[in-house]
Amino acid sequence: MESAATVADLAAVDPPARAPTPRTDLPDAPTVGRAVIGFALLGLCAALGSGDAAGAARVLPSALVVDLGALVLTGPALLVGHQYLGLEAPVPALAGVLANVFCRAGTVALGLCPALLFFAATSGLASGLLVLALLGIAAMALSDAFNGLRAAELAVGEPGRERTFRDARMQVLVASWMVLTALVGLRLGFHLAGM
Amino acid sequence: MTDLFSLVSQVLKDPLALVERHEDRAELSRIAPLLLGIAVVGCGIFGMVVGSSRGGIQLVYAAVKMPLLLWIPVLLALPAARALWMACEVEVPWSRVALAGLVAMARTAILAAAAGPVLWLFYSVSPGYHVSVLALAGSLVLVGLPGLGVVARSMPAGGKRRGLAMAGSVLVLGLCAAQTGWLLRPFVARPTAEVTFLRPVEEDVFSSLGATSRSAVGDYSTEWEAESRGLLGSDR
Repeated sequence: MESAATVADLAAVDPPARAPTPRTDLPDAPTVGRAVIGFALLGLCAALGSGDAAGAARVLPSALVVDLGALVLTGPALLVGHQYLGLEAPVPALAGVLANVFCRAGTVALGLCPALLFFAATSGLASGLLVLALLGIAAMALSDAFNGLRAAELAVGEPGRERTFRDARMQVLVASWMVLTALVGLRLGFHLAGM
Repeated sequence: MTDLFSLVSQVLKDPLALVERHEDRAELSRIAPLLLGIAVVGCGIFGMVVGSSRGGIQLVYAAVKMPLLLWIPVLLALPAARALWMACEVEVPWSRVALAGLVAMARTAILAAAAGPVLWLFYSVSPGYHVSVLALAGSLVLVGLPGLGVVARSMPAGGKRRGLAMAGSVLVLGLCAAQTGWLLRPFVARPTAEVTFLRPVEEDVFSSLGATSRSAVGDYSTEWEAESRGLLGSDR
């Protein structure tokens, strides 16, 4: 009876024992290259629909700068904060999660290029749709990153109170990092838009 | 011919089984021309019905353009749809995406042809230009939904956040379809306007739909002038 109560107590406070396994291996060079090309092409497609050369020059690098820039600028802060808070997931695993998230986002950007090029050719909506696409991709990527980073942390250690506290700290850390990344991305976007 | 009728029947009754059976490349290359043919004929019939709102050469113009209204958005949206599904960890081979798109187009075209008499009956009472355009848009949405359902259900099982991938795919397809319809206009020619195959590339479908909706309810308070836009705009 006592043992049953202990299990119930643990279940009440412990995060799911079978957290989804994140991809923590670093992606290969062609996959990273495809993601970079995806963001670069997305910007190029929108730039083609800009009204003037100055507008095109601003729009061209926007997708790549906003997404890659935000990740490069805030990724180290996440890793430093992770170590500072005494969390246990291996740093290469966290870097792998971030790299895979970037690659998935870049693949979506590449897939959106034909549609954006069509709108650039036939309407004045390309810049607005680029912003919409980047917001959607960023939301998806940040949500992916939250789940992946948390799962990477949960993959270390045995279920128990200690892991529950680590999970709580990890969630706070990743949520803070997500806010920082979103703000840095918005700042880069506003800078490129000349605001 | 029996094969063709059997294929039409399968497209309507069990499109998912059709996708499953013909997924490999050899089967895909055999069946693709037939599905494209069905899409052309079905859309052509629907286009003629739409052209009948004006009559004359517009019958031919609308019949020729209507299949493009189905093909162009699908071609533009399928890469995005595949990327979104892959981002949600659903591996989708290109052959399956292509076949699902073809079956969806054929299904939409057959349903459009079947809905033709209803639209014709509506146009026969001369409902007015703006209402005719909105009726066309509404009909296309209605016959397009079963096609979208085929694409959604053709995706392999597994992955996560499938609803998000589906919603994103539908959004991209819907945007592309709407803009393609605007680009290929006129389908329903204005009673007073000269009939042309294509109008200049100007503005976009959303500003036009806003103006049409206002005009349909008799609100002419806002002036709307279409200006050239985009790379293909005439003043570039």
